[in-house]
Amino acid sequence: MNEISEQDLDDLLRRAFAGAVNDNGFTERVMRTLPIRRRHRFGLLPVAALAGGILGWLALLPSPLLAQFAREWLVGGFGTASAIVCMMLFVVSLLGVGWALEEQ
Amino acid sequence: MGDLDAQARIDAALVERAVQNDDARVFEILVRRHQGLVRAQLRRLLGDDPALADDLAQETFVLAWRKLAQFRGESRFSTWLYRIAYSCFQQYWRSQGHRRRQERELTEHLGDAPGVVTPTHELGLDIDAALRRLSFNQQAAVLCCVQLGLSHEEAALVLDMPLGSVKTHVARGKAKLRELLQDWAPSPTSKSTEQFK
Repeated sequence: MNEISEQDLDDLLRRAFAGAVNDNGFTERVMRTLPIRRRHRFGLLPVAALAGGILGWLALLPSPLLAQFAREWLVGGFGTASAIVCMMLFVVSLLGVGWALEEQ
Repeated sequence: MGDLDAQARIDAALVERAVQNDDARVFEILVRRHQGLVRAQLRRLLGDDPALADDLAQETFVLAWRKLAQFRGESRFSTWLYRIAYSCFQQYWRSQGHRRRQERELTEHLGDAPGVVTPTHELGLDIDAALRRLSFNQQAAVLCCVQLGLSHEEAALVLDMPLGSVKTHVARGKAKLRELLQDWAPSPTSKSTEQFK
Protein backbone atom coordinates (compact mmCIF):
# COMPACT_ATOMS: atom_id res chain seq x y z
CA MET A 1 0.00 0.00 0.00
CA ASN A 2 1.64 3.26 -1.10
CA GLU A 3 1.39 6.53 0.76
CA ILE A 4 0.74 9.61 -1.39
CA SER A 5 3.21 12.36 -0.59
CA GLU A 6 2.08 15.81 0.56
CA GLN A 7 3.38 17.36 -2.65
CA ASP A 8 1.62 14.80 -4.87
CA LEU A 9 -1.64 15.32 -3.04
CA ASP A 10 -1.39 19.11 -3.38
CA ASP A 11 -0.61 18.73 -7.09
CA LEU A 12 -3.58 16.43 -7.60
CA LEU A 13 -5.88 18.77 -5.75
CA ARG A 14 -4.71 21.78 -7.74
CA ARG A 15 -5.14 19.90 -11.00
CA ALA A 16 -8.62 18.78 -9.97
CA PHE A 17 -9.60 22.41 -9.38
CA ALA A 18 -10.94 23.83 -12.62
CA GLY A 19 -9.59 27.30 -11.83
CA ALA A 20 -11.07 30.66 -12.76
CA VAL A 21 -14.33 30.51 -14.68
CA ASN A 22 -14.64 32.45 -17.95
CA ASP A 23 -16.73 35.60 -17.71
CA ASN A 24 -19.24 34.81 -20.50
CA GLY A 25 -21.38 37.85 -19.73
CA PHE A 26 -21.41 37.36 -15.97
CA THR A 27 -19.94 40.79 -15.18
CA GLU A 28 -22.52 42.55 -17.35
CA ARG A 29 -25.29 40.66 -15.59
CA VAL A 30 -23.93 41.72 -12.19
CA MET A 31 -23.63 45.35 -13.28
CA ARG A 32 -27.25 45.38 -14.43
CA THR A 33 -28.43 44.23 -11.01
CA LEU A 34 -26.34 46.59 -8.86
CA PRO A 35 -28.61 48.73 -6.70
CA ILE A 36 -28.35 52.48 -7.24
CA ARG A 37 -26.59 54.06 -4.31
CA ARG A 38 -28.40 56.97 -2.77
CA ARG A 39 -26.07 59.75 -1.82
CA HIS A 40 -26.81 61.48 1.46
CA ARG A 41 -27.17 65.20 0.95
CA PHE A 42 -26.63 66.50 4.47
CA GLY A 43 -27.04 70.11 3.28
CA LEU A 44 -30.77 69.44 3.05
CA LEU A 45 -31.07 68.70 6.76
CA PRO A 46 -31.16 72.35 8.02
CA VAL A 47 -33.79 73.08 5.35
CA ALA A 48 -35.83 70.11 6.59
CA ALA A 49 -35.49 71.32 10.18
CA LEU A 50 -36.60 74.83 9.20
CA ALA A 51 -39.54 73.47 7.19
CA GLY A 52 -40.53 71.32 10.18
CA GLY A 53 -40.31 74.37 12.47
CA ILE A 54 -42.50 76.49 10.18
CA LEU A 55 -45.07 73.71 9.89
CA GLY A 56 -45.12 73.35 13.67
CA TRP A 57 -45.59 77.12 14.03
CA LEU A 58 -48.49 77.10 11.53
CA ALA A 59 -50.07 74.19 13.37
CA LEU A 60 -49.94 76.17 16.62
CA LEU A 61 -51.49 79.36 15.13
CA PRO A 62 -55.11 78.62 16.16
CA SER A 63 -53.99 77.63 19.65
CA PRO A 64 -54.05 80.13 22.60
CA LEU A 65 -50.60 78.75 23.49
CA LEU A 66 -48.97 80.90 20.85
CA ALA A 67 -50.56 84.11 22.19
CA GLN A 68 -49.47 83.17 25.70
CA PHE A 69 -45.96 82.44 24.37
CA ALA A 70 -45.85 85.91 22.72
CA ARG A 71 -46.98 87.60 25.95
CA GLU A 72 -44.31 85.77 27.96
CA TRP A 73 -41.61 86.82 25.51
CA LEU A 74 -42.81 90.46 25.47
CA VAL A 75 -42.44 90.71 29.24
CA GLY A 76 -39.12 88.87 29.05
CA GLY A 77 -40.28 85.81 30.96
CA PHE A 78 -40.02 82.14 30.13
CA GLY A 79 -43.13 80.33 31.33
CA THR A 80 -44.94 77.08 30.67
CA ALA A 81 -46.34 78.21 27.29
CA SER A 82 -42.84 79.12 26.06
CA ALA A 83 -41.51 75.74 27.19
CA ILE A 84 -44.32 73.82 25.47
CA VAL A 85 -44.05 75.81 22.22
CA CYS A 86 -40.24 75.45 22.07
CA MET A 87 -40.49 71.73 22.80
CA MET A 88 -43.15 71.24 20.10
CA LEU A 89 -41.15 73.19 17.51
CA PHE A 90 -38.06 71.17 18.37
CA VAL A 91 -39.91 67.85 18.04
CA VAL A 92 -41.52 68.82 14.72
CA SER A 93 -38.16 70.01 13.36
CA LEU A 94 -36.61 66.72 14.44
CA LEU A 95 -39.39 64.82 12.66
CA GLY A 96 -38.66 66.89 9.52
CA VAL A 97 -34.96 65.93 9.70
CA GLY A 98 -35.84 62.26 10.24
CA TRP A 99 -38.19 62.29 7.28
CA ALA A 100 -35.52 63.92 5.07
CA LEU A 101 -32.96 61.28 6.07
CA GLU A 102 -35.42 58.49 5.37
CA GLU A 103 -36.27 59.88 1.95
CA GLN A 104 -32.65 60.26 0.82
CA MET B 1 4.28 36.82 -3.73
CA GLY B 2 5.41 40.15 -5.21
CA ASP B 3 2.88 39.69 -7.96
CA LEU B 4 0.15 39.04 -5.41
CA ASP B 5 1.13 42.16 -3.49
CA ALA B 6 1.03 44.21 -6.68
CA GLN B 7 -2.43 42.83 -7.51
CA ALA B 8 -3.60 43.61 -3.97
CA ARG B 9 -2.37 47.20 -4.31
CA ILE B 10 -4.20 47.60 -7.62
CA ASP B 11 -7.39 46.24 -6.01
CA ALA B 12 -7.03 48.59 -3.03
CA ALA B 13 -6.60 51.58 -5.36
CA LEU B 14 -9.64 50.54 -7.39
CA VAL B 15 -11.75 50.13 -4.25
CA GLU B 16 -10.70 53.58 -3.04
CA ARG B 17 -11.70 55.16 -6.36
CA ALA B 18 -14.99 53.27 -6.50
CA VAL B 19 -15.89 54.38 -2.97
CA GLN B 20 -14.77 57.99 -3.32
CA ASN B 21 -16.56 58.65 -6.60
CA ASP B 22 -19.32 56.10 -6.08
CA ASP B 23 -18.16 54.84 -9.45
CA ALA B 24 -19.85 51.66 -10.69
CA ARG B 25 -17.51 51.51 -13.71
CA VAL B 26 -14.51 51.10 -11.42
CA PHE B 27 -16.38 48.43 -9.50
CA GLU B 28 -17.00 46.67 -12.81
CA ILE B 29 -13.21 46.34 -13.24
CA LEU B 30 -13.06 44.69 -9.81
CA VAL B 31 -15.85 42.29 -10.74
CA ARG B 32 -14.05 41.35 -13.97
CA ARG B 33 -10.81 40.77 -12.08
CA HIS B 34 -12.32 38.49 -9.44
CA GLN B 35 -15.46 36.86 -10.81
CA GLY B 36 -13.57 33.83 -12.16
CA LEU B 37 -12.24 32.57 -8.86
CA VAL B 38 -15.29 33.59 -6.81
CA ARG B 39 -17.48 31.53 -9.16
CA ALA B 40 -14.98 28.66 -9.14
CA GLN B 41 -14.97 28.67 -5.33
CA LEU B 42 -18.77 28.53 -5.22
CA ARG B 43 -18.96 25.83 -7.90
CA ARG B 44 -16.58 23.72 -5.87
CA LEU B 45 -18.52 24.29 -2.64
CA LEU B 46 -21.85 23.54 -4.28
CA GLY B 47 -20.62 20.39 -5.98
CA ASP B 48 -20.99 21.43 -9.59
CA ASP B 49 -24.24 23.37 -9.81
CA PRO B 50 -23.01 26.19 -12.06
CA ALA B 51 -26.32 28.05 -12.29
CA LEU B 52 -26.76 28.17 -8.53
CA ALA B 53 -23.09 29.05 -8.05
CA ASP B 54 -23.50 31.97 -10.44
CA ASP B 55 -26.60 33.17 -8.59
CA LEU B 56 -24.68 33.15 -5.32
CA ALA B 57 -21.69 34.83 -7.00
CA GLN B 58 -24.02 37.57 -8.24
CA GLU B 59 -25.37 37.99 -4.71
CA THR B 60 -21.77 38.14 -3.48
CA PHE B 61 -20.87 41.04 -5.79
CA VAL B 62 -24.07 42.95 -5.05
CA LEU B 63 -23.29 42.65 -1.33
CA ALA B 64 -19.69 43.68 -1.98
CA TRP B 65 -20.93 46.79 -3.79
CA ARG B 66 -23.20 47.67 -0.88
CA LYS B 67 -20.46 47.14 1.70
CA LEU B 68 -17.53 48.45 -0.34
CA ALA B 69 -16.90 51.36 2.03
CA GLN B 70 -16.42 48.83 4.83
CA PHE B 71 -13.39 47.30 3.09
CA ARG B 72 -10.48 48.62 5.15
CA GLY B 73 -7.65 46.98 3.26
CA GLU B 74 -6.67 44.85 6.27
CA SER B 75 -6.76 41.81 4.00
CA ARG B 76 -6.53 41.37 0.24
CA PHE B 77 -9.68 42.36 -1.64
CA SER B 78 -9.94 38.82 -3.04
CA THR B 79 -9.90 37.40 0.51
CA TRP B 80 -12.64 39.83 1.51
CA LEU B 81 -14.70 38.71 -1.50
CA TYR B 82 -14.17 35.01 -0.73
CA ARG B 83 -15.39 35.73 2.80
CA ILE B 84 -18.63 37.27 1.47
CA ALA B 85 -19.03 34.41 -1.02
CA TYR B 86 -18.57 31.83 1.72
CA SER B 87 -21.14 33.64 3.90
CA CYS B 88 -23.63 33.59 1.01
CA PHE B 89 -22.94 29.89 0.54
CA GLN B 90 -23.41 29.17 4.26
CA GLN B 91 -26.65 31.13 4.33
CA TYR B 92 -27.95 29.22 1.31
CA TRP B 93 -26.79 25.91 2.71
CA ARG B 94 -28.50 26.49 6.07
CA SER B 95 -31.75 27.39 4.33
CA GLN B 96 -31.59 24.26 2.16
CA GLY B 97 -29.56 22.18 4.56
CA HIS B 98 -31.95 19.44 5.51
CA ARG B 99 -33.02 18.51 1.98
CA ARG B 100 -29.52 18.66 0.53
CA ARG B 101 -28.03 16.69 3.41
CA GLN B 102 -30.50 13.91 2.73
CA GLU B 103 -29.65 13.90 -0.98
CA ARG B 104 -25.97 13.86 -0.16
CA GLU B 105 -26.31 10.96 2.25
CA LEU B 106 -28.35 9.03 -0.31
CA THR B 107 -25.67 9.59 -2.96
CA GLU B 108 -22.98 8.46 -0.57
CA HIS B 109 -24.84 5.28 0.32
CA LEU B 110 -25.56 4.42 -3.28
CA GLY B 111 -22.16 5.30 -4.58
CA ASP B 112 -18.57 5.37 -3.77
CA ALA B 113 -17.92 4.30 -0.22
CA PRO B 114 -14.21 4.26 0.65
CA GLY B 115 -12.54 1.01 -0.22
CA VAL B 116 -15.35 0.08 -2.58
CA VAL B 117 -14.23 2.43 -5.34
CA THR B 118 -12.16 0.75 -7.98
CA PRO B 119 -9.01 2.36 -9.35
CA THR B 120 -9.68 4.51 -12.35
CA HIS B 121 -7.68 6.64 -14.73
CA GLU B 122 -10.11 9.51 -14.32
CA LEU B 123 -8.35 10.62 -11.19
CA GLY B 124 -9.93 14.07 -11.36
CA LEU B 125 -13.30 12.45 -10.85
CA ASP B 126 -11.89 10.27 -8.08
CA ILE B 127 -10.54 13.30 -6.26
CA ASP B 128 -13.90 15.02 -6.60
CA ALA B 129 -15.56 11.96 -5.11
CA ALA B 130 -12.96 11.80 -2.34
CA LEU B 131 -13.37 15.53 -1.60
CA ARG B 132 -17.10 15.05 -1.25
CA ARG B 133 -16.46 12.54 1.50
CA LEU B 134 -14.78 15.16 3.67
CA SER B 135 -16.72 17.23 6.17
CA PHE B 136 -17.81 20.68 4.98
CA ASN B 137 -15.18 22.39 7.08
CA GLN B 138 -12.46 20.09 5.76
CA GLN B 139 -13.60 20.63 2.15
CA ALA B 140 -13.71 24.38 2.60
CA ALA B 141 -10.32 24.50 4.34
CA VAL B 142 -8.65 22.36 1.64
CA LEU B 143 -10.31 24.46 -1.07
CA CYS B 144 -9.02 27.71 0.45
CA CYS B 145 -5.51 26.60 1.42
CA VAL B 146 -4.60 24.31 -1.46
CA GLN B 147 -6.83 25.07 -4.42
CA LEU B 148 -7.28 28.83 -4.00
CA GLY B 149 -3.75 29.19 -2.64
CA LEU B 150 -4.66 31.24 0.43
CA SER B 151 -2.49 31.28 3.52
CA HIS B 152 -3.86 29.67 6.68
CA GLU B 153 -4.45 33.15 8.12
CA GLU B 154 -6.42 34.23 5.05
CA ALA B 155 -8.42 30.99 5.10
CA ALA B 156 -9.25 31.62 8.77
CA LEU B 157 -10.64 35.00 7.75
CA VAL B 158 -12.64 33.59 4.85
CA LEU B 159 -14.07 30.69 6.84
CA ASP B 160 -14.51 32.78 9.98
CA MET B 161 -12.84 30.22 12.21
CA PRO B 162 -9.76 30.23 14.45
CA LEU B 163 -6.38 29.69 12.80
CA GLY B 164 -5.82 26.47 14.74
CA SER B 165 -9.11 25.03 13.49
CA VAL B 166 -8.18 25.80 9.88
CA LYS B 167 -4.85 24.01 10.27
CA THR B 168 -6.58 21.04 11.89
CA HIS B 169 -9.23 20.83 9.16
CA VAL B 170 -6.59 20.98 6.42
CA ALA B 171 -4.42 18.33 8.09
CA ARG B 172 -7.35 15.99 8.79
CA GLY B 173 -8.83 16.58 5.35
CA LYS B 174 -5.56 15.74 3.65
CA ALA B 175 -5.05 12.67 5.81
CA LYS B 176 -8.50 11.42 4.89
CA LEU B 177 -7.90 12.16 1.20
CA ARG B 178 -4.61 10.28 1.33
CA GLU B 179 -6.38 7.36 2.90
CA LEU B 180 -9.11 7.41 0.24
CA LEU B 181 -6.74 7.85 -2.68
CA GLN B 182 -3.85 5.60 -1.71
CA ASP B 183 -5.35 2.52 -3.36
CA TRP B 184 -5.35 4.39 -6.66
CA ALA B 185 -1.76 5.63 -6.56
CA PRO B 186 0.77 2.97 -7.49
CA SER B 187 3.82 4.88 -6.31
CA PRO B 188 4.49 7.75 -3.91
CA THR B 189 6.73 9.61 -6.36
CA SER B 190 5.59 12.06 -8.98
CA LYS B 191 5.50 9.11 -11.38
CA SER B 192 2.31 8.14 -9.64
CA THR B 193 0.56 11.14 -11.06
CA GLU B 194 2.12 11.04 -14.51
CA GLN B 195 -0.09 8.21 -15.75
CA PHE B 196 -3.21 10.21 -15.04
CA LYS B 197 -2.15 13.26 -17.03
